[in-house]
Amino acid sequence: MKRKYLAVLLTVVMLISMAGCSNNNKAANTDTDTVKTTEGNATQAPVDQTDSSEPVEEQELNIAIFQGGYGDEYWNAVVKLFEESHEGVKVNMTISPTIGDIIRPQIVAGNAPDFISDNDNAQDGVILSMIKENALLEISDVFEGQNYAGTGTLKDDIKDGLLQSAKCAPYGDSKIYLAPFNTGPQGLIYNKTYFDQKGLQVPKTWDDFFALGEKAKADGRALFTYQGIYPGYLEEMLWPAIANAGGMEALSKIFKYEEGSFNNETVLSVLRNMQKIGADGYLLEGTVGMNHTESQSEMMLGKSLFITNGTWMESEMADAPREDGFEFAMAAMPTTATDGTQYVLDSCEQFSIPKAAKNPELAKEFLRFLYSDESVALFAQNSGSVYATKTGREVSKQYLTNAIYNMYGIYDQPNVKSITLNFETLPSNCKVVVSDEIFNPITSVMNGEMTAEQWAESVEAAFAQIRADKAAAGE
Amino acid sequence: MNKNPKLFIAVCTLPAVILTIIFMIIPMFNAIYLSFTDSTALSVGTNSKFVFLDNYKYMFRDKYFLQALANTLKLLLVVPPITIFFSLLSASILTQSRLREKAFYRTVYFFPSIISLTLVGIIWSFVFNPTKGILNHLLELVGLENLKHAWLGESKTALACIGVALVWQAAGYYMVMHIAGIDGISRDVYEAAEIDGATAAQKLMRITMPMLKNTIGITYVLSLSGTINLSFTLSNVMTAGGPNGASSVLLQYMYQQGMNNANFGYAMAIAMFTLFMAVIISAISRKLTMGNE
Repeated sequence: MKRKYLAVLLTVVMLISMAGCSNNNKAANTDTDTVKTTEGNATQAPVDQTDSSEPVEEQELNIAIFQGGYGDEYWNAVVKLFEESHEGVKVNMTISPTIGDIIRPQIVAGNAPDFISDNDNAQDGVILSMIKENALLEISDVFEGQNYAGTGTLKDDIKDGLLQSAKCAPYGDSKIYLAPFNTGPQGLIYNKTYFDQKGLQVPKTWDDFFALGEKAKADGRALFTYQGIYPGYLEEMLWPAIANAGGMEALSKIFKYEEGSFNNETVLSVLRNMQKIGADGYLLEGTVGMNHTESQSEMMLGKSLFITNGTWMESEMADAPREDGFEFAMAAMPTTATDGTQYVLDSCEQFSIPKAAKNPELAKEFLRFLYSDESVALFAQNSGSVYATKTGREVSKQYLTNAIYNMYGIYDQPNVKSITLNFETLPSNCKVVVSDEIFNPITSVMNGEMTAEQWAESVEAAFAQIRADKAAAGE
Repeated sequence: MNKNPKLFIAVCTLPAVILTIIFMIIPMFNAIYLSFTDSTALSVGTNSKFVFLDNYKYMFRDKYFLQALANTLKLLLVVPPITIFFSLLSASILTQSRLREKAFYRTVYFFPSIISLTLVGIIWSFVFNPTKGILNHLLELVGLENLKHAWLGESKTALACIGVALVWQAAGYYMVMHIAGIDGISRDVYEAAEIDGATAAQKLMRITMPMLKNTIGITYVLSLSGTINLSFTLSNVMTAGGPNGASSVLLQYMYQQGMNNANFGYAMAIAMFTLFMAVIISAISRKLTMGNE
């Protein structure tokens, strides 16, 4: 009798697991016909609208979303809006802080999602792998096509410079494989209230910066702190400072890993200024041993005047203690001359569509939809941040806090230009971790264990390896 | 069933054998194969190129790999002996003394080994925090301000901090094993030694350690493999391998190359090297501890 029960139980378990498999297959085998949208909402007219009298085709869109500091409210809302405005469309969303680990086995098994929101520099390395493997779908046609409102070409709506950068066109051939998500300035965060109270001016030049450091010392504060064990945050200081000292040309040589692009007097002058922060006691004591939240807390408690960071710091540190009246503000990096252009490094998160997507046309439609004013406003409303569209800041204005709106105002200052990271994609045989090679030595430099010259030499050695790998790969 | 016990045993062990083959043996051979390819984390061998020994050759020119290897060896040299020493000492005290709170201490010492390793890393990050950490505050309290450090941010101290956390985490676990071993030693031996006037230290050195030689040998090998495995999490959480690679370890570098940098083939080569190294070191330590048998 017992054996009978066992047999029944095992059969049930087997059937359930088979049902699970078949369900998966069903999801994977959704038809790949082009999207057919119906009248949608009243205010927005999708471009490829069809006659509503035609029978509506049921379609599924599988999207995989990285859940970062902005939470999941926006994605839930925008998916709902997309489904409401596209009759017959069902969006299956997987959203997780470890989305890469979830989708990697699916992609390997030939069951890639239709749409991915994850970054090329993410810890999981999935997008980087897909770039190396040529596994992303070219989406230039989406940007060459009309925007969702049908008022113009989508590429004209996107913030200047982004689509041409390696963040979106990773192979250097102007073909777009990654779409920009949100963008924002990164710079020196300071407490505006404190500066106003003390009558301090935001420094324009490196000399002003260090002079301010002396005043800060007199008031028992350090001039500067950064995210200690994560020195990569100092990209927000290094790249703008090099662009200022040597122009965009100096930067573009570095982005191509050219010989002598890092070990030269222009770059060294910047590295020496950074070394001076540590050597001359301008760095908050203990910074090198702190993580990002610890150093950010210390800054907000008034231990240091500045910290490098982006606009997300306000929401990231929403629950952190702070000195009375603390108000977020952002300054551009110091320059070498008073009339020099100040550069601001833009952050840029990305969307992409895998080549193996089952429903690429619907994914493209979803992507187009994401840049609509409704979606941009929803994002600002739910996440307090701004899409990488030219009108993003104004569309989002009513939903942004004053501090964040003002931080975006850094672009309005005279002589301020934005730059985007534009490193050439490494050949697939290359084992160099570029960001580690450039930023890891900073802690040693700040500790006085390494000089600026040694730092430049070590980066040059890494660039030489990359050039050798490129040559070996026949590029 | 009585007629054919061998068949019964074979059937019983079959599920475990199948699971081991599917989840251990096949992936291991897969990893060996991948270590000879330029696979990314995505292709996993399907359309990757066979590069033969290139990954292994590159490894020994890669300064970050060599640094991680040196750091791992330093930890292997120092952490297991200290862990075993403290675990033996506490096991000996808890079994030999007449403390009434024995059970309490046993639980407290064992506790670190059952909490999440990530949590252990976070706890010790707080201890070593340069401004809020208890260590710097204690030093200040006893007037040793000059010994204060940014412990996790200085290349001279970062690796040692990870070592301390490793010892703290593991000592209690091995203590329980040693207590079980000591319980197996006849009380008569200790009583006879006491009558002869042996001190606690003498009992530990002359009775406990020789009689526990086998157990210590096993715990030492376990501690070696634990150090290789667990240092990955602690290094990731506490220092992110920094400053400038001063506390990076082999598995962390493997993970970084495999996952963050999409060099799965190279990562597998590092994994194979680590496995090979662990087997050799374990074999040597087993040989040394079991030398007389």
